[in-house]
Amino acid sequence: MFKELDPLLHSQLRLAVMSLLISVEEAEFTFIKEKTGATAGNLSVQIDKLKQAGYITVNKSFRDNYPLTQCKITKKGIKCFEIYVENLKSYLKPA
Amino acid sequence: MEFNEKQALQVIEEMISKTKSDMKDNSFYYLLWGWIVFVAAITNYYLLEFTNFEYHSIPWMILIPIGIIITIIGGIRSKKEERVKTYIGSSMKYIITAFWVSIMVISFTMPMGDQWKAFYPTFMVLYAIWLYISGGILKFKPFIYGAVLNWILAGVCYIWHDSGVHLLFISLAVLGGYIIPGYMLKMSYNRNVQRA
Repeated sequence: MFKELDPLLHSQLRLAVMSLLISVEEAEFTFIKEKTGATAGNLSVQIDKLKQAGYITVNKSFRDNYPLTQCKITKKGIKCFEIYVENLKSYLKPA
Repeated sequence: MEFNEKQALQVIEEMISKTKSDMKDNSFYYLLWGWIVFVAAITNYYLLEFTNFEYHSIPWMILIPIGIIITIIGGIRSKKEERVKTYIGSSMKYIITAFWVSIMVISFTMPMGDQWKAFYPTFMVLYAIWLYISGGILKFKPFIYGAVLNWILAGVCYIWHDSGVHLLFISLAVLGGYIIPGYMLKMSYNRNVQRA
């Protein structure tokens, strides 16, 4: 029986962002951009969607006069990621 | 293009392995302090045993402040460059602080209380605790072996009171605990970078 996958996480870039954030405490936008290989524009849009859903928090500040964006996964985000991975397993089990 | 379940799993695996390979090269501070203590101890030993120079502990007075300055500058710089905060990194900060506060308390109060007999072995016990914890967290065996070496040498020093021997033992302790494992850590980091 296939379980429904969270459409918000079942997208390449958003899933990549969440997978990065699940294994760290906090990461900068530039770090996520480098690791995912995404363009700044596309990444901003996807990060915003995750933020709207309450999966991550985004903290904008300045460091040495440069804008600094830090992202952190929320408890809700962790829970949803775990459910997504659990549901994903149902698709990958040999029939 | 449709994003299927297999690709989803690949994305998760790839991203998690990318955060793992982003481990920083921590060997610099192990090597810096390893060499500082090693050179200071050996020079102190030479001045004590083979010359009549009254201020034989002067190498420590020169080298330790240099080490502290480099460490502070390096710490500020790496904080600025830090783009990702890991759970390991955050726990290591607490351990580093506890270690440095303990080192400072010993460095200032033991000489004031004229407790030279226990001075160097107490350092070695602290080194051993630090090496054992960081070896465990970083999953790096050479630090664990270094910790055992420091515990053994500290034990011998607590029993055998001889200033010259203590200086030779502390240089051996940092050679086996910091310098050799420090170079091994650097090598393993370079290998990981080449592989990534």
